[in-house]
Amino acid sequence: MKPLLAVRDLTTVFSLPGGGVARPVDGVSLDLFPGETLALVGESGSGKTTLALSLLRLIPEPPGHIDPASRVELDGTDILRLEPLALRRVRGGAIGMVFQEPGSSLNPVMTVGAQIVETARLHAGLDRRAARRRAGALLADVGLPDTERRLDQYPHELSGGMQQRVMIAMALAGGPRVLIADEPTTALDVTIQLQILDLLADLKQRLGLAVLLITHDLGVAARVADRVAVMYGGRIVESAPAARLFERPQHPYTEALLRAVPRVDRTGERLPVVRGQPPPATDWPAGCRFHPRCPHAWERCRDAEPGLIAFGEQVSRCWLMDEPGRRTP
Amino acid sequence: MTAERLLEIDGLTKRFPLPGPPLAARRSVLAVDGVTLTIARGETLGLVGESGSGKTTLGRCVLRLTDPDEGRVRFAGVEVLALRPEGLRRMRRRMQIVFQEATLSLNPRLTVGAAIREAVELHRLARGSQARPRVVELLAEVGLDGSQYDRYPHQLSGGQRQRVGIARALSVEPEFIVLDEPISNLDVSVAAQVLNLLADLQARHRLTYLLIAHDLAVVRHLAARVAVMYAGRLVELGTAATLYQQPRHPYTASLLAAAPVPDPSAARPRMVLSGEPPKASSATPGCAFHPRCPHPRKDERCVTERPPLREVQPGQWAACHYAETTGEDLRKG
Repeated sequence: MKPLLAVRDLTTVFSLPGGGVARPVDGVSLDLFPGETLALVGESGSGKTTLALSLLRLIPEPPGHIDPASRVELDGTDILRLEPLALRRVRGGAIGMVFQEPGSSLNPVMTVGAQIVETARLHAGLDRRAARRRAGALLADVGLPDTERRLDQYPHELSGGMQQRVMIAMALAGGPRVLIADEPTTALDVTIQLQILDLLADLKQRLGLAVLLITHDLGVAARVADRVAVMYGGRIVESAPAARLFERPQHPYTEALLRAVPRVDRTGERLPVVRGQPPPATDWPAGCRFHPRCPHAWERCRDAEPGLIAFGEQVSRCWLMDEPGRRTP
Repeated sequence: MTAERLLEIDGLTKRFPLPGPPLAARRSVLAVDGVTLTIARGETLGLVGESGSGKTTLGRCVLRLTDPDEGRVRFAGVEVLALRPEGLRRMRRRMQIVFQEATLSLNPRLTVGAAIREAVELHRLARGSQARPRVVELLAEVGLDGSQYDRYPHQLSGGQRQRVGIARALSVEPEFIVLDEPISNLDVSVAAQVLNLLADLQARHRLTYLLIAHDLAVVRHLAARVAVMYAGRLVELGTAATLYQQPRHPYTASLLAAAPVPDPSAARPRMVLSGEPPKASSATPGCAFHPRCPHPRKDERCVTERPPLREVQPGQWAACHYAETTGEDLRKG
């Protein structure tokens, strides 16, 4: 099967006021297939949000720019080389986006209906009346009953969970094939989080969407992802089918993250921690970017950065894939 | 168990007036609705609830950062709500708080050292030339080195700022600390470090914690007993050992089922709650949870009659008319 979205060697560079540069995304490649949810997992500073914004060229230029060798192909067309008008048609059209804070992404002085209608008219070319009907249908689709009343409400009249449903309805209004959701449930309470994750899974199924879910929460990824990619230091360090990654993580960073998460199904033993802090994008460590914090690191890890080494459907950017005997117990 | 009761909260109630026209009869929100709890010395009590459940307001009432409308708070036998300003100031040496957003609770124009020193000097715990070594000692306690003394909050990472918040709370040598969502804005790897630090400090100084969190997972790692709040009311209270194994309130069961676990193969009940927590203003005569309750036995009684918090099995209390059969359908199915 051909990927719907193919990202190749995506690198995003920011010039800093002091003269230096930061590379929050540094040579990332990934494939997204129709009908799947790929979770991109990482901590703050790993580059995951810059990656999401770069896919649609939403980073501020300057001070940022995307390296000219990068490619982001949607069905064979490189988004990074589109003319401004064509790019606008892709944003909110073939690719819909949902962000973390629905409260600050929605326009506070426009009704919910007007905002969805605007998107539907722009991308689906509907007239006003048809667009309003479509907006009502979309609200019903995302589980907001009583749609006629909802359409005339303002964002502040809705709870956080309802606002996020409206954001999803807006993302769907352009008839997308790809949905990029950046921390869509982070600001929500757990019981509401579960409702939204279920909604995303249901929409993926019904509409055959390809979903790129960006999250810091491995538990969220475990709940909805078909595949998981883990980011660290601007790079993808591991990716695998979800069940495989959680059962047998290969990269020491993935392993450490999984062990450090407090879990409701584990008793109160001490949490094993990763020592130190993630590195800044201005100063990635030489060699493997995780080596200063890695319990297994040896000279090779300091000297040379491993590529993504494959083991079946699982890939890991780690020399242990080459020399498993080096794994310290 | 004859552990000393350090903190006793009895029938605590806090209302906030809703905005409305001046002089009109003001409607109010019941943020905390008759909560009774005790915490033993040296214990960690976890207090869990979603936004709007009243957990943070409860924590603030205990420290009298907010004055409750009804109820009593006794700390080591002292009636906290009856304290006059001087007595309250002395009491604040014994009871401290660590906030969720260290960024917001630290003065951006004070260095780390000055912020901690301020607390130390206010309570006359060290003065003049002794103050700096004491602050450096406190920084070391929370895993920061002396070089952080002259830094400003914005020069620190989120985890380091949270450590400063903890050092500041420790600086007055308190017996009791309210930890209000201490790790909720931190990355996983940093959060684990802070949780372990809190456990170490508790053991070293025999501290008593009220750990407020929005999820049950964080609490599981520190607390021996857990209280769950919903819409201002305490709906379940029990030892961690029993509550996580067999929750008696359907809301606790739902929270457990909703908690994300990084293991797709973990056998967990699939239970998606519909609806949202109520606005605290819409007080109901019955159970506040009934509109969302998945309990198969839910009936008219849940709508009309408020379930009292009662002991369902030794060491475990729940405010549900049908607590005995909570989760039965899930376990069977």
